[in-house]
Amino acid sequence: MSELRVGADLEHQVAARHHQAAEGLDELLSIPALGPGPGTGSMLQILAVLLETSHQLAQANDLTADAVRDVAHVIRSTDAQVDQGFRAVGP
Amino acid sequence: MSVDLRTAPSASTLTAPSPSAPGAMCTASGPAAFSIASDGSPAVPRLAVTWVRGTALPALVTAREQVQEALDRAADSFQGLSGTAYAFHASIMLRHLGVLADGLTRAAALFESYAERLVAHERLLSSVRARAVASGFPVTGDLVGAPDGLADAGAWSTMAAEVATERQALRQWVATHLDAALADFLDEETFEWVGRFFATHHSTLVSGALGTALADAHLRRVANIDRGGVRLTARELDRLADDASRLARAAEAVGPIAVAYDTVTALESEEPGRGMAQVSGGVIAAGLVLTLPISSAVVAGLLATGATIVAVEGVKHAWGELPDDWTDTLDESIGEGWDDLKDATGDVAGKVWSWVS
Repeated sequence: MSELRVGADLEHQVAARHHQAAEGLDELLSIPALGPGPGTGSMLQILAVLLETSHQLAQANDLTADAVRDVAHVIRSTDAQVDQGFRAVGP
Repeated sequence: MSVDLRTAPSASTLTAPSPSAPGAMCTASGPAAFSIASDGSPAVPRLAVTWVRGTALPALVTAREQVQEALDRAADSFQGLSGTAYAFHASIMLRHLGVLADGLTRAAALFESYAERLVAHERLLSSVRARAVASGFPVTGDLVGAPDGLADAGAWSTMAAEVATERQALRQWVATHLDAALADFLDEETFEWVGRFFATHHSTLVSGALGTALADAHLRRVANIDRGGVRLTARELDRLADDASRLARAAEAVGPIAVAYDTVTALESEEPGRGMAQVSGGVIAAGLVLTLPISSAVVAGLLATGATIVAVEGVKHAWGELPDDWTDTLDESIGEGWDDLKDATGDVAGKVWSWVS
């Protein structure tokens, strides 16, 4: 098992970037209005599929950011509990 | 009389097209006019191309860079199995973003080819217009009127048929190139991956609450055993409390639905004490991997399961080293406690068991 280490900037540097990525991906949802034509409906369908994928990945990024914050919280809580445990049995 | 046939010249409900001049408007006395208006402007797909290349793709590139930066930062500040799991997850995220970028790039190219097809469409219609004017046919706006004399009717019908054929060919091109391409842009793999990620996350929340409830109930049961005068040694009580405590920690730190499932399975088994020990040991070992609710089968399969198996096997070995009377007592006490718990809670736990099994 490798060393477990969580830096202080985990939430700010890692989670925040996932949130920013999510915001950028969701901005794609505002597509321009397309005029009529025989292929306009098909183009809109293709764009809708791609933008739905983009939206899904935006949500996944948001969730990843939350998960990273949860990890940091759990690991620090565990670290604090272990610390308390050692202090309790210490001299 | 004239009718604008721009929208659907060959499918007009007002008139029946002439066999000799498909797409032309007919009257009782014969064809009157055909439209040479364009069915679509290339400016429309070009607008989409501009948006994809000028807005969507740059935004996607920025998002990928941010995820890559997060991954790079995590390499320095996020280590251990959780960090490895995160790195794997972020790498998959980057791959899906790459697939999306590829989809947008392909869409832009397809829309561009559609624009080129519309340019050809307009060019043909302009050519027909020029020839109609050169032939002396009455051209009013986008309508080419029928000639007065029968001498030129053949040339007029040929032009009308040419326009109708072109309109049909354009629709066929759209069906073949645009409609048929839709399936190629459906990224089922990404949908499935995101879906699993969400499902795992939600399962984590749900099972976290369930695991905590089970642990709390178990703790109360331990206290009841104590108050009820059941003869258990202090060590055995400590072990029961420790099991409950480990369950609570596991629920707080991990909380996968498997915890609740495995816990109930263990409690229902012939050797509930052994099962509980395995569940607790396995969960704690897998906890650091599964703290981040990664849905990847690879992570779950290689890391979490591997850690769980190692821990469970270790517990099995340790359990086998314990005196039989000790393990029998623990099995019996935990089993009875579980049965009493089900009775006390109105068999809610049993319903959970029937639901998950």
